[in-house]
Amino acid sequence: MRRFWILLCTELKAWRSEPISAVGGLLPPLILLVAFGLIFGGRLTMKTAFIDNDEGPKGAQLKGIMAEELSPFDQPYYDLVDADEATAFRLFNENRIDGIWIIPTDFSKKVEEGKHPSIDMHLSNYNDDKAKNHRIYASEILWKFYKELGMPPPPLDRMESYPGTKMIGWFPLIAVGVMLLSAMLGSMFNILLLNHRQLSSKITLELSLAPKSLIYALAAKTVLALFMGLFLGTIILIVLYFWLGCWPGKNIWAVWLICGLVSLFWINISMYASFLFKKYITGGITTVLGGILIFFLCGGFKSVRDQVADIPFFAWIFPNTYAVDPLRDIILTGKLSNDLPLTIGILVLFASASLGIGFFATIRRLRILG
Amino acid sequence: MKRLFLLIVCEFRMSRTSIPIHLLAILQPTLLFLLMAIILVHPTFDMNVIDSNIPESSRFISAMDSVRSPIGEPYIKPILVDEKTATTLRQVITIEKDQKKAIAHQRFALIDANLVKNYRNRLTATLLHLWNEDLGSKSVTIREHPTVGRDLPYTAYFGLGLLPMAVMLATILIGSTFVAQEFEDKTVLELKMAFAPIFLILCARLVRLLVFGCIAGFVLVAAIGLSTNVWPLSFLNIGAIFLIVGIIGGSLGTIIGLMAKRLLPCFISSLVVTITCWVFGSSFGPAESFGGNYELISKFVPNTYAVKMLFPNYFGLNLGSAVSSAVILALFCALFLWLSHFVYKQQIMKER
Repeated sequence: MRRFWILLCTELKAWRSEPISAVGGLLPPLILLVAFGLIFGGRLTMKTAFIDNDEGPKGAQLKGIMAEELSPFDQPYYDLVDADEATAFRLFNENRIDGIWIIPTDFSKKVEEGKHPSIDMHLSNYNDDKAKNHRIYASEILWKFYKELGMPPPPLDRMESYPGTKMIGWFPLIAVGVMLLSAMLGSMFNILLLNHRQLSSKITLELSLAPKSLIYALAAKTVLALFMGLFLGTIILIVLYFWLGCWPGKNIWAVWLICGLVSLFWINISMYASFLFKKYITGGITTVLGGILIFFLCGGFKSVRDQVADIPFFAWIFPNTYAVDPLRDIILTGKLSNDLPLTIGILVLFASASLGIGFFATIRRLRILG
Repeated sequence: MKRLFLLIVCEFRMSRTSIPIHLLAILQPTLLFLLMAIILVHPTFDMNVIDSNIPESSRFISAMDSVRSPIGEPYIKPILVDEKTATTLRQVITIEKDQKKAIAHQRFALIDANLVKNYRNRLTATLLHLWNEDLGSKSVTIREHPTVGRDLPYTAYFGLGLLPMAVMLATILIGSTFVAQEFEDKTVLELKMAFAPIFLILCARLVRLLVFGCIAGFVLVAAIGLSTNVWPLSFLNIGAIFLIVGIIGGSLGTIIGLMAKRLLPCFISSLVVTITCWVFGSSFGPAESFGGNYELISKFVPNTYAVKMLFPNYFGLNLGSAVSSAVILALFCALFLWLSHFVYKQQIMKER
């Protein structure tokens, strides 16, 4: 134990000489968090200009529905923009609004007479997802419109049941993924830094010639990197508390446990890679861009449980895929999910496999490197 | 001219000392794009339905196939499930019928608002399709006027947003780390004592960075084209935009390297600058469509203007004025070129 403490203090001194690596694990996730917050954290509505040329009342009725109909976000589907036709098209061409609805002069007349009433919808479709939203949101508006008009009832009515009264928005889901990314990147960056110091000051030669096992040396690094990862993850968690008002409360131990196990998996991969490539930059680029990639692939942007089919098969070989949803439960609802013991079991397996293989391969590498 | 040529040759020879860094800086954005293409939003959703063996149920299931883009993908892929399996699912629709009316009942075991919204909209679209069939001439028709001939996959836009980032990553990262390495290896003194004028040395370095930046950009152009079948209308225009972004990236890289002088801070700063420029540079959609603070921040990011110039070259549509974007990008270019020259002079000359 004493040997471990001495090595840990030595590593800490090495870390203190260049603490900049801590920023590497914090800044990229923080930038992503701010950007996603600005993009997805606001009103996710379609900005649409409604040009009502209708000579009767139905156009105005339709406009009222468009402004009021709420999505499960408890927000309207549309943000109506007041503009004349020329301004609307200018805004549309500048991408400042998403679409334009034009109600023809005889709309009310045709609705009343039942003679093929129609609406013109101008939409951007260089992005198929937005084009899809234009089409399916329009269905919500027409559905309500028909009901208000007192049309003959639909052949099938709509009913929905939810498990609870509270829905979770998209940005909080993403934010928890970013928090996990921060813990992961933080630990990876720190292990890269510690190894870079040893490589650049040629201490690897001493390590390779060490008569005792190198496990203590690697364990000290791992503990320090793990601590730094958890520290950075907690900073993001505090940011989330002030931004979104979510906090795991007394279950914070579970957040640290999950993030710690995921970080342990990645620390050992980074540790081996840093001695393999020897260049800090190579490891650094791979870490940041690889980390962002893992964030997206392993459910950083969506709920894994709810969209299993959308998770690529190779994402299941990374612990993040298993960790992200239970983390969301703890952070966003403050509750431990039922599958937490199973998740922790899986993460322990990942972490121990990575620790075992990582330590073995790194020790071999260090002995050869010297 | 001969001196410039020799300096360029020297620069390219130096590249051989760090092939892995070059390869990573060039290929990482393409790798990011290719893997992201697998998971990016797709309009087709799997929807679980219990086939109740009543006429309304089969009519509903066939109507699900009709919910689609008239010039693109279907929006629903119905998955028929039995009642036993349905208990384990997080979304399922059952068709229930009593004496008064029939109902499509969608049950959720999930609380993700965005997902619920998507399922609800698709269910409504299906039911509206059936209702429209029954209403006949009373139903309201929506005449669509899309901006392009077919719905283009979001992946194409995402790739377009990545293009300036690809060029920037290669130029900033390679540029900054090599300057920092010169400080660490003390070869910076050779630069101080060089007979060649500063602009010639910077010019040679920039040529090398531009070549690698353009390679990174065009590798990504090929990846976008091959995976989405969306190709630029003019490769020449794209190349010109890459050159401008490359000059900005190369100059920024040189400035970062000169200021940081050490590999670690220089590398982290380069990554932070690249990622910031990417995420705030209309990477996930035009900044104007998000509005607010995002649009405000994006105005200070060169990638925003690069995306505005790339946009018409990919989609044949304007994203604001291409001329003003070109002017702003050129101003960025001139500013960073001047800054890199200024900082170079300051930092190299004071080196002892």
